[in-house]
Amino acid sequence: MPRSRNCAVLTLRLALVLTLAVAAGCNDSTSPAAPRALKPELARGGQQGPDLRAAMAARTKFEARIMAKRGVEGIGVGLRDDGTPAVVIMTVNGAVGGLPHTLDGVPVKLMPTGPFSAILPRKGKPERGGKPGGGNGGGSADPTATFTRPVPIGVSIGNENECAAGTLGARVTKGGNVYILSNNHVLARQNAAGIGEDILQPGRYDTSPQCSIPANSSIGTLAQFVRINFSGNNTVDAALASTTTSLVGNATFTGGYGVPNSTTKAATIGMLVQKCGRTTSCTHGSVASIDATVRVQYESGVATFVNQVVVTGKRGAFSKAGDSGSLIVTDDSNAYPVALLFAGGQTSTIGNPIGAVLSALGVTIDGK
Amino acid sequence: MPSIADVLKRHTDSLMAIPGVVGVGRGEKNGAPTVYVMVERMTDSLRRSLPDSIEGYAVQVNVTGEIKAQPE
Repeated sequence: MPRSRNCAVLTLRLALVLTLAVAAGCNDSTSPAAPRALKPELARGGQQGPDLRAAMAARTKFEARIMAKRGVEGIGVGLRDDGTPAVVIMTVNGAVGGLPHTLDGVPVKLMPTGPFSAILPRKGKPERGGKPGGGNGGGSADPTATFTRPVPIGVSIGNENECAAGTLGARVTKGGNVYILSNNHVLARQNAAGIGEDILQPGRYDTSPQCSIPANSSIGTLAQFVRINFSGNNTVDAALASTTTSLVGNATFTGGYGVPNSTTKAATIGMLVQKCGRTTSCTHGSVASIDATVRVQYESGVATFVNQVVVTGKRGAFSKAGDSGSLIVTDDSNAYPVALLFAGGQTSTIGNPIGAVLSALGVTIDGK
Repeated sequence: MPSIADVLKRHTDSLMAIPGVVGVGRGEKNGAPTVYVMVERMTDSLRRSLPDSIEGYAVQVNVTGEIKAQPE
């Protein structure tokens, strides 16, 4: 059962990624995730016979017309509960009038998903002053801005080879060298990156024009990552980029908790925590569950994580798309690191236990 | 009564195999350990298949939506 379910979701995601690449006008010819992940799925589609091919054809044919309807968030190909292929129409809340039950004979399945903030980029992003360092001053820093070097932690970063953005979690050390700590899927493109690829601040999703690579935006190079295993258990989604203390600082931007502690603390249920990240900036929450096993949806598949920390927000979501890589610390002046944020749902955020992250990479937090 | 850790070890796989369950962990309610179950959305079939308690520990169900990696 999990297998067929995963297959359906994966197909959906890929269809969305394709739609997205066009819709966002993001001319990212090097973006590896969509084409690389698409191939095996297409091949599988071919083997599954004419039904799935018909569904894919119907999706392509009617995509523009369906997507134009208000309340429709996405269209894709998926499987119905009985395992037969369908054109899946994703809606904000399910109540969209005038949608067909079939398209060229292929059944339509409605899926209320809410808006797709994790996958569909926001369009028409307002200009944010645009001057370097604009995010450093004042009371409310904008973590997506270009910061003067050394950049604070909690800000937008990304790999040079994808138009995306995640969060710079912390500065860490090993053998006298300093590194940026974030997720594999932020720094290392979900296993696809090569060591030495540039890490940019801000990530290309946040540059103007969007997806461009401004001069001097590199703040480090990919040094190490823990591979995400899509067919077994994982504990961490983590990676390091080599950097220097003149490029990356060890405190959050204004309004954040400052410098994290170099001593970590294991999560306990009810523990009050905070984080500063690229999308929701600095938020507060509490630990709802520990030792959790969680299935997590990535662009290139589903991965299972064990021994995870689950956090719920104090007011609204603790995290949203773009906050991946944030360091979760205790919500007190000690700011003991607790977890590395990497995933979430509407109401919950998932983090890797920080002890496991640091030992997998052989580093310590460069903190107070 | 077995420890919550042992109970999770024994039952996590079968709980995760229930369609719609996305996560299983250790929770706490009113000071007592619970089996914390995350579901994408609540459905009749989940109401039927999720037990109220397992080996003496309350099952605490939370609707989380789909759990996704969070890049932008």
